Amino acid sequence: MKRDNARNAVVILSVAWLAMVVLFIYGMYSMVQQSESADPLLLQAVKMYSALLGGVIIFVLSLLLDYELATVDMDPKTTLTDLAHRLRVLRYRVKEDRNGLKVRITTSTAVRIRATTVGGRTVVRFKPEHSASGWAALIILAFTVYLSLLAPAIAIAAIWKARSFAQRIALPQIVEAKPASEESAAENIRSTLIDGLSEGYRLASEAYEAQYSNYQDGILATITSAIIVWLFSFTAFVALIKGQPLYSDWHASLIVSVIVTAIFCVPPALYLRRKVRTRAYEFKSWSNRLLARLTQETSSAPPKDAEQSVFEVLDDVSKQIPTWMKVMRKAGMFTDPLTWLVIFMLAYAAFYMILIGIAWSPTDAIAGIVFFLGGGAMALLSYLVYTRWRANQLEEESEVTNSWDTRLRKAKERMQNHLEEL
Amino acid sequence: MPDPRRMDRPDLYVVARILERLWREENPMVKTRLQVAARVNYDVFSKYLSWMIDKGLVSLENTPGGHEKVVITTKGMESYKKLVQWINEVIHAKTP
Repeated sequence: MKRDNARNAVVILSVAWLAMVVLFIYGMYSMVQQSESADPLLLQAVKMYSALLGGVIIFVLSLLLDYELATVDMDPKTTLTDLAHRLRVLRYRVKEDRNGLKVRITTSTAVRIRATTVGGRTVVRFKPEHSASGWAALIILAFTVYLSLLAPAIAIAAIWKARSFAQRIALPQIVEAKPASEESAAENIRSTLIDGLSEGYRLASEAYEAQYSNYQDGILATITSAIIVWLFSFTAFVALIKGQPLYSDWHASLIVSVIVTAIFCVPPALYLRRKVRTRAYEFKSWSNRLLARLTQETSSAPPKDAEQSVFEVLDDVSKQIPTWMKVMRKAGMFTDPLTWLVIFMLAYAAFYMILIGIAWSPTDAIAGIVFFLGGGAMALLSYLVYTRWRANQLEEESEVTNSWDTRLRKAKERMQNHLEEL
Repeated sequence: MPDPRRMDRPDLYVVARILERLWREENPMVKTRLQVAARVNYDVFSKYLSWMIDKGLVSLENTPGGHEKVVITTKGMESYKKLVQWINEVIHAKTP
């Protein structure tokens, strides 16, 4: 890396973020002191929230900027394909798509690597991204509003992690490793097996994470429902027995409400544990199995005679992929975290603006109406983004599942024909 | 040795298993070890071995101890390479 642009970006963005923190504290102070201030209420809010807005800009900037890693003579496609293979050998989870490579470096951080032709040579660039878990953490921060000021710090840390990975791991693999085109037939077979196992491992792991996330969401929803059901049944029972002998005995109300809550909430909790969690563990078992074979393959360990061949393992993987993809598509956060962040942010902004509208209406009717209208617009936008995402998701799911069986059957026919025509 | 012409439609998985095991082995392999790796009984294995020799995928080598050992040929290596490339294409969602 001739010019360390990533390091400079980290320094500049960190200074800007610190300035926003200072501004936020000043804004908070202004809000606290608002009764003594002559400024209108709206201006007080602008003071406080400008820091949060600045934080959002820093956050977005940190995700948009990318940094030069290397310049090579191979064409962009070969450069990325070779790099993807080498990172898979190092057991990184690599996803290849039309935007380049996405490499998961920690549970919350990923790196996007792209290659473009500039002046007849290939320039490789990287930028930090967040994994599904990273996006989930950011969405939770966004919900707290004030703590969302921490999001830029997380994004700046992601640039630092991405820079470290790019320099220490990716760069040597780009400039020093032997090109795949120079591999012998035997080496080429091993490379192909590693690529297949690694992709299977990535898909199985992501399916597990998506399914486990569904399980956790389900448990959270069940607990929330349990609290609501208990509160409702407790107050309803107390109201029902008012004036009767049992009324003075709070134990009775408590026992009845707990029984009602158990009747409503234990079956879904059991279903989640027995079905949803068990399925997640099935995916985990696949992921572990594929990682074990991948480790064996990358370390060139001798095979065990009675072991299933890697070809058969890959064949099994190819039959599982539609199931894994379906699970991932159901968990929107995993397939398209950015869209979901937008949906959550818009929905939350709508909810928050309507609340402010209600609170301000008695004192400042115009501001109240403005917030109401703004909240309504945000809610509508959130709904439109969601419906569009859902329509695309259903269309993609249908395409994948319909074409998968045909794809697999054709591949098998091709292999069988190859053997018969030898 | 059973008649190789009786094998009209070889099982893809058995052929792949044998080729993969031979590809991994640096040296020619004793038949009995290869049969264990192929996970088929000796009669079936013999049938497959004859068919593969007939198609030029593997060849037999005589050792000084009088044992016949099996080795993968260049054609066998190329065939196995094609099989793994095709299954890999399916996994990477590339149209075969």
